Amino acid sequence: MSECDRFELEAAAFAGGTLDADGEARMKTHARSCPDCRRRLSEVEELLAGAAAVRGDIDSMMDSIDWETLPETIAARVFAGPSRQPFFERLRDAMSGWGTPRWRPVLAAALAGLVIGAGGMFFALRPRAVPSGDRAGYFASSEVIDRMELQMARQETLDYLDRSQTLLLEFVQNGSAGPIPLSRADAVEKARALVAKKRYLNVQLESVPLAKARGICDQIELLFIELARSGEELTPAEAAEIRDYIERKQLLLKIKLLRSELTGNEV
Amino acid sequence: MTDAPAEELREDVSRLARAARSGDREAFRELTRMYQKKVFALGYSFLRNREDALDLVQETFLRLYQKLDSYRPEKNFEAWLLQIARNLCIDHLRRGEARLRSRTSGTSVEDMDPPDNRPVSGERLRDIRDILNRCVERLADRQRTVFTMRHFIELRNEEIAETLGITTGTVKSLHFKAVRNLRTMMRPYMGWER
Repeated sequence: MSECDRFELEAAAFAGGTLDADGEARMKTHARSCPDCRRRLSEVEELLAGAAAVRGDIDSMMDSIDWETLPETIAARVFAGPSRQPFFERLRDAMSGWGTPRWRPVLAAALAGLVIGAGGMFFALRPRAVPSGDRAGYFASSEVIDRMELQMARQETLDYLDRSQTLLLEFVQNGSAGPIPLSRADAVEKARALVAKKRYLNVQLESVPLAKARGICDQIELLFIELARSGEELTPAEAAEIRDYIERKQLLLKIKLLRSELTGNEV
Repeated sequence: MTDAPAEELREDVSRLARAARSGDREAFRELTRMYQKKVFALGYSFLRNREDALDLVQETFLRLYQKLDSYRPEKNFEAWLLQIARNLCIDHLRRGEARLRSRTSGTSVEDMDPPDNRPVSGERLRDIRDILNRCVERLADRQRTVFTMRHFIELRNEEIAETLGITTGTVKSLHFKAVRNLRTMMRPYMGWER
């Protein structure tokens, strides 16, 4: 591993001040002599400054909460339900009185019934000896599993692209026909469904080599997130902005090309 | 060597959990007092909405109470509690109740003006924060979780590992990937050189 690779690997820890003294000294020495790594470090520092600002927002948000009364509110809610005892205490309460002589014959009979029943079940249901050749085990190599995962990710991506294409076409076609107001609720619902699907798709695309597909899907996702965010009727100006984004990014063309590549197993 | 204050805390928490399990309301309140802010920070980091995060705090402690029977003192209580909270966050997001309803900023990352090159303060810091917020949401789930826990909740790698049930090495690797991907995503909007 080169010194620059190591630097990149540890830049976040260095900028965050969590590196040990030796590591810190090594990073400082390298940063002095390498302009690329200095630039990397300043990017990471800015990124972490942004993260600290988010943390600051959370802290200010927390200042507005009455932490003194919250535990009581929660406790009131928790203890308002049916009284809760530990399992063994509940069992002990339920069993109290069963040990008296009055109940002993009943308990003995129940126990005897249980033993006889268990014995009968054992003989009735015990596994028969099966010749070893009759039951073949199921085995799949890791290569096969990888291919299956790739195939599933491909199918999911195709489905995502199909549905995205339909929604994008709605915008583009509305644009060519004139300023027809789109049904906002319908578009938002579809966009939300696609954002949710993309979240699921991210997990699948993370573990398979479909980087190009992921890049294009990310661009589409960005549009849908924005579309799903606002809750008002879509104005012609907003619709035009969305159409402009679709055209500028050539999303429909990219979808078409990616679909044909995915269908032809080329990605 | 065992860390004495940590060991003391573990024993205290274990005692409170046992007492709460047998219906001691004050012990339950004390547990809530000790961990409510951390649960809120986790909830707010994921849900980005104050009310949702407060609901999550309540829901988490309610769930905690129901699960106290299965708590074992050798477990790390905080990690266990945060695991409950995280699972509730995921359920919440799956139901789509929060993620799309509330955002920290109303502007798309692509529509934001790139921050100028002044030192990281004031306006520029706000821009970086907004861009970062947007980009974090686009990370893969595990990377987002690790980055959020590390920087927004300020958990240590070991705590994150315990909460997520993964190794510290995996936490470091996911964090590295998260930072690298964030840099890539933020680059066009930050004016960083390629």
